[in-house]
Order: sequence, then C-alpha cells, then structure tokens
Amino acid sequence: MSTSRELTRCKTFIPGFDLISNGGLPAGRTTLVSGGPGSAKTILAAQFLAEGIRNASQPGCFVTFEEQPADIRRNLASFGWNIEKWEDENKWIFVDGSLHPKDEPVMVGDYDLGGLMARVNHAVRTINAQRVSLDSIGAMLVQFGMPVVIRRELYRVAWQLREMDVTSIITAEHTGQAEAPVEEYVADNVIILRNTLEEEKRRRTLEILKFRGASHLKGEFPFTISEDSGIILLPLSSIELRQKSSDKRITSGISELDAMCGGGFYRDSVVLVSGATGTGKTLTATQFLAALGEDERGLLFAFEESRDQLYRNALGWGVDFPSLEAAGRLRIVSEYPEVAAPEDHLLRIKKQIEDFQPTRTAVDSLSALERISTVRTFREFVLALTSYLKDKQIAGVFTSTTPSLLGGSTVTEAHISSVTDSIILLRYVEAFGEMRRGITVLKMRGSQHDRNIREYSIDSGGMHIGEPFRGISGILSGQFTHSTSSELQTLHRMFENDDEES
Amino acid sequence: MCKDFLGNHVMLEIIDVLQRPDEAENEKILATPTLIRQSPGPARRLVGDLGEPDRLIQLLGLQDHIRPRQ
Repeated sequence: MSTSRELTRCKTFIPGFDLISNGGLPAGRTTLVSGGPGSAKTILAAQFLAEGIRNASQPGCFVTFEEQPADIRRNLASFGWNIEKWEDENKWIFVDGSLHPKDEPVMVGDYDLGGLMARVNHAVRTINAQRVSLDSIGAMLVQFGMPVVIRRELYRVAWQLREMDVTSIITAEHTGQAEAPVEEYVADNVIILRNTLEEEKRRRTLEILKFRGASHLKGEFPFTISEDSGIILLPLSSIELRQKSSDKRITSGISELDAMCGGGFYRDSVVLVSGATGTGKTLTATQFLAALGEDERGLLFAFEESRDQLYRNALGWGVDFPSLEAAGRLRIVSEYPEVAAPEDHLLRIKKQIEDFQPTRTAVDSLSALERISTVRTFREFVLALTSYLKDKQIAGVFTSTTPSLLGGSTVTEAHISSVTDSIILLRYVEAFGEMRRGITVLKMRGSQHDRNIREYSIDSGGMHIGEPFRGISGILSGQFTHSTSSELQTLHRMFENDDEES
Repeated sequence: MCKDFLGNHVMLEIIDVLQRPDEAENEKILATPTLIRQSPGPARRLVGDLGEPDRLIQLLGLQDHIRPRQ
C-alpha cells in the first residue's frame, strides 16, 4: 500500500493542524516555519512544544535567539501554558541563544555553531526531549552576520536534530516580498504563516508549502489566536460531509409555516430566511426560538439589535424572552459584528454553543457579518458554521437581508444556498396600490413543500400566514404583473391541452 | 601564543563544548571557537578562527600588557 511508504507523523495537537497536514508534522524531521513580522511564528513554535507536553507527554526543548526565556515565559502564560512549572517537571527546557548586549561578540574569522549544537544536544538528553523548536533564524543573522555561514550551519543543525530523532521546527523571517528566502527552497518541509491586509482587514493564514514525501492539504487556511489557547486553525474548505441526517421534525413556531414545509423543520437542518428590511426576519427567528419543546434550549446570536431591543420586539409579538432567559432555556448573545474578525466570531459562536448546548440556534443576521468580511472569508465562515451546527445536530435559522425592498437576492443566498437545507423567502408584494407581504418556501431538502407564495400578516400574536396570491406574477423578481382572470383561464387550458397530448 | 606575548601573567582555560556542554550553557556559547576575555574586565568575546596575533591583541585590548619581545 502507498500509505506504508508515507512518513510517520508527529501529531502536533494544534487544533486543526493535524487535519490539514493529514496527521501532523513529518516525524523526526525539521520543518521550516516562515512568516513575516507579527505572523505568530513564536507562538506556533512554542505551542508545538506545549501541546506535545499536554497531550502526548513529550518533553520539548525551546531554543531562543530572539526573546529571552523570562519574556517567553511571561508572554505565553496568558495561553494557560505554565512553562515554569514544566521546567521544574523536566518537561520543558530552554536553550538561551538570545543576544545579551553586554557580551556582543566580535567576529574575527570563520566559525561553526558547535557551541549551540552541544548545548541543544545536552538539553535534549537532559529531559529526553522529543520536540525541539528554534526561534528564529533572522535573529541569528542579526547576531552573527554572515548569512552564508548561518545557513550552512543551520543545515548541520537540522541534520543533527534528525540524528537525535526529534521532530523540530525552525522559524524564519519572510518579508512577503517577491522572492522567497533561500531556506524555503532547500528545506524539506515548509510552512508559511501570513498576516495580510485584505480590504482593510487583517487575516491570518497558514499554508503548508511542502512536506517532502508526505501528503497534506493545499492552500491557505485561516487561523485565529485564541486568548486562552493559542493558535486555532479553521480548516473551512476541508469540511467533511459526514453529517448524519435526522427524520425528526420540530416546529418552526408558526403552525402555517410548518404546514408549508411539510410538517416543520428537520431537527438538524439549517434554514435561511431571506427578506428585505421589515419583512419579519427577526420575527421568524424569535418565534423559532420561542417554540422550544421539552428539554430544548435556544441560543440567539444578535448582530443587529441590542438585548433590550430584542426583548421589546419579542414582547410585541407575544414572546417573553426575559423569563425564558431567566429559566435558563434561552441565551441571547448580542454583539456588534465589528468587534471581531469572522474567524473570531466563529470561535465565539462555537464556544457559546459548547457552553450552552442548545438544540436551536438563530443568527440574526448573517448580512451584518457580511459587512465585516471579504467575500471569501464570509463564504468560509458560513460553510464552517453550517457544518458545525449539522455536526452537533442543532437546528439553525440564519436570517439574511436583501439590499432592495422588492425582489433581489443576497450574496448570502448565493454562497450558502447549497449548504442550507431550506430557504424561506419573505417578500414585499405591491398589489393594487398596496404593500402586502408574501412568504414562500423556496427549497426544503428531503421533503415535499408548498410551492405557493402566500400572503402573511404580523400582529401581536406573531406571524399569520394566509392564502396564496392569485393573479400576480413576478413577486420574487419584484417585477410584478397582474394577470386578469381570462388570462388565468387561458393558462389553465394550455396545461390541460399539454396533459391531453402527452 | 599567549605565553609568547603575555608571559606567565595569563591564565587560559580551554573548554571542549562537546565534553562540557554545561559550561557552554553557562557561558551561553553559540559559535565555536569563541574566546572570552574575562579579565581585565569588562568581558569581551571573539568568535571565529583566531588569525593574526597582532589583530587579536588589538581586539582583546591587551596592547598595554604585552611583554616586550626578546
């Protein structure tokens, strides 16, 4: 089998990394991590060791050329890594190669890194380290000059690390300009970290450029640095379609809508509600959350309105949010979308879901998040969230605002229509000089549904859905035409003829 | 060479980092060879192959300590 020839892997336990690398770093080898300033190289190098200690009891050796050990201990403590304790337990060891200003060396001739190598070797043996991180080449170059010598020496270092049978990371500076540093050509395994500015927003990504002799997923994967656990990769594009699907139906909170959907939403389905402003999207989400069954819990992520506004709105439709919240059956998370990047929002949403364990989740609205994202990020966000909900078997309602009052579609729809199970459209209908509202179920995966566009009204009891619109076409496009009854009859006869012919 | 220039006033310790990695650690040695002048202070480090004696003496700042050549 081809897999037997694959290199064995060293699982990093960095969330998401082992998935995109098909199992971790090549074991016993050196991987170059190249990135610009502020691209989280040091964090990655340290997290590789920290996760090894925490998850696999593999001691690690951190060789620093840049920051002093005291600074590293302090800086990384915020991630919950108690390096000092690990040092006491012989799980973590520093080799301090950082430059002390008082003993700046004078270079007089050719040299090698024999001193460094002896120290690393000694450190690795002392605690039986299985992981080694060196941070970073750039700082070495500043200390010693002579890039040619440093590079030659680093290959020797990498070679010796291999002899010691440790898996190692060496970080290097990458300016992001046209030419890649020499190291990237020569190293067997290269990971690139990027921190780029995309439409005025910072976006962190990790790319495995190459693993010699080992497979990995290709392309850039966004990651975020969580305040309490370090780097978390979000392998959005590699979501597996392994969701189980449920036949169990739950109510949408609107009995007529349940009937239109053929008996309610599926328990693990994600429903997109799309409409112009004022058509009742927040209402749909509200009624969905208020219709909690026994043992059910609802979680609402509100990106457009404050908690108080939501309370007031809900009360206007006969839903008592405050007492649901007090009973611990509902949680409302209200945030401005601008407070975080989409990746961070995704992380926060996941944390809330893990914490609260809801059976129903609503996001009002996705369009608000679209404002803060680039097209690609937004699509990845929605895909990741959808697949996460489905994996957890949570029913979801996302709302999406159409830019124009009449007709139109949203970018959201274009991106996620294929991943959502159902799409419900709320539309204004101009009829005989009056604005009325129409609802239709555009798609209902795995089930029959009502194909009519029905009129609905909203009062203190919520949404009430009535009869289908007759004699009006073009509602979805917003280009209404009113047909007379004779035309309708003609249409009817036309199909009758078709039936007879066939 | 030390003897040549400085006579018996010099104390030189040679440490093989492979044999004594703990000493290398204490002195935070990265490159070999490294020559550390501990006294007279302040300490000074020279890294690399030691070439011409005259330049070395200059770099170590030991001009005033040289024993006149015989």
